[in-house]
Amino acid sequence: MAVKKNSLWVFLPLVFFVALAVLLALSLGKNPDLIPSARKGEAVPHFQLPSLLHQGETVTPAIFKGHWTLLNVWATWCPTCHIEHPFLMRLAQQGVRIVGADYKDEPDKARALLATNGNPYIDVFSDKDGSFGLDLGVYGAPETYVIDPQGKIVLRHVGALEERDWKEQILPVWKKPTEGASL
Amino acid sequence: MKRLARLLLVSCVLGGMLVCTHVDADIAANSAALWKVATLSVVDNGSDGSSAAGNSSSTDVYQFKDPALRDRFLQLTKVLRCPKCQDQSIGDSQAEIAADMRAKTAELLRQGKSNDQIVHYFVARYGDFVTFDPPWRVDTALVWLAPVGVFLLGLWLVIVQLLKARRRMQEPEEKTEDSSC
Repeated sequence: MAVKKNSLWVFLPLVFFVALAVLLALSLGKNPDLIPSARKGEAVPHFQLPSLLHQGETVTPAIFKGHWTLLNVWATWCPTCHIEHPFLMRLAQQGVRIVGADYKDEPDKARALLATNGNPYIDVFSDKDGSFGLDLGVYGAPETYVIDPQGKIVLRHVGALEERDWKEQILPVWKKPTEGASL
Repeated sequence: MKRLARLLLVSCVLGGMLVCTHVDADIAANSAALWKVATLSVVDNGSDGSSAAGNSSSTDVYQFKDPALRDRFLQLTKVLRCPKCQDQSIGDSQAEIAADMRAKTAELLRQGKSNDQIVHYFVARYGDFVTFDPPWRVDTALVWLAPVGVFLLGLWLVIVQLLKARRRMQEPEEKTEDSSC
């Protein structure tokens, strides 16, 4: 009776240990630098910023309406952006619509870079003081957002966008009807 | 039996300590951030109430007409967490984004926003991650209740063991070998 009950207690430390080990093991593979976007499912915050490509014009969230679009936050000062640039070029050649946000950058430098390395963007707007980035929840460049035809944020990818990210993270949601969206 | 009880007790206390150290480490990191924020320059004798020049994070200077506003600025820059340099507050971090967030905090303060509104502004953009003071919700209850639960569990075990030990001392005639497995 009392003996039986006590004998089961022996396993408690083991259970405790196993639970802790499993918890820690599962957390090992996680990247603590990735913060889930708080803006997921929301519309892109309003902005009206000068276009880098079309002098005198401004870009607003209307640019996202009616098309699946990638919003790529980049800058010339950002080394990782240079690394992801060739892949963005390839996506653009495949017909993926990419809008660029030139984040806390000099418009002239950005224009010069696009002229030499090629331009994957259908349009680029200049977020010179980073206020749009702050509004969107950007915490470092590059970041890439999947925007649906309603202008809502479906997904955020932090860091360089690579073939693998495109296939594993973005393609599963790309051009798929999102929850609550009317087709 | 006695050995088992001791093993159990020790393992639970160790488990409890593990959890508590984790929580303590968070608090310690936080208070370290609180301490270091004093190094952020805040000028409280400003007359115009506008932010002074300088966009480098280590040298940015904010001026507030109202000392209360200055205190709230310090308070908020301690409690808001830098998304880039995790475990540093925005008052402590030299990351670009922290500088931007400090500027935004000052701007919102001058607009007359409350502390809650300002924290909410950042939480809406960066998630709960951005505050060192997590909210009380169903999905965050564990964060708040786990340390208390582990403490109570430990307390309960200690009391049970003490009562058992006392009972054993009061009945020395009881055989000990029959209770061990």
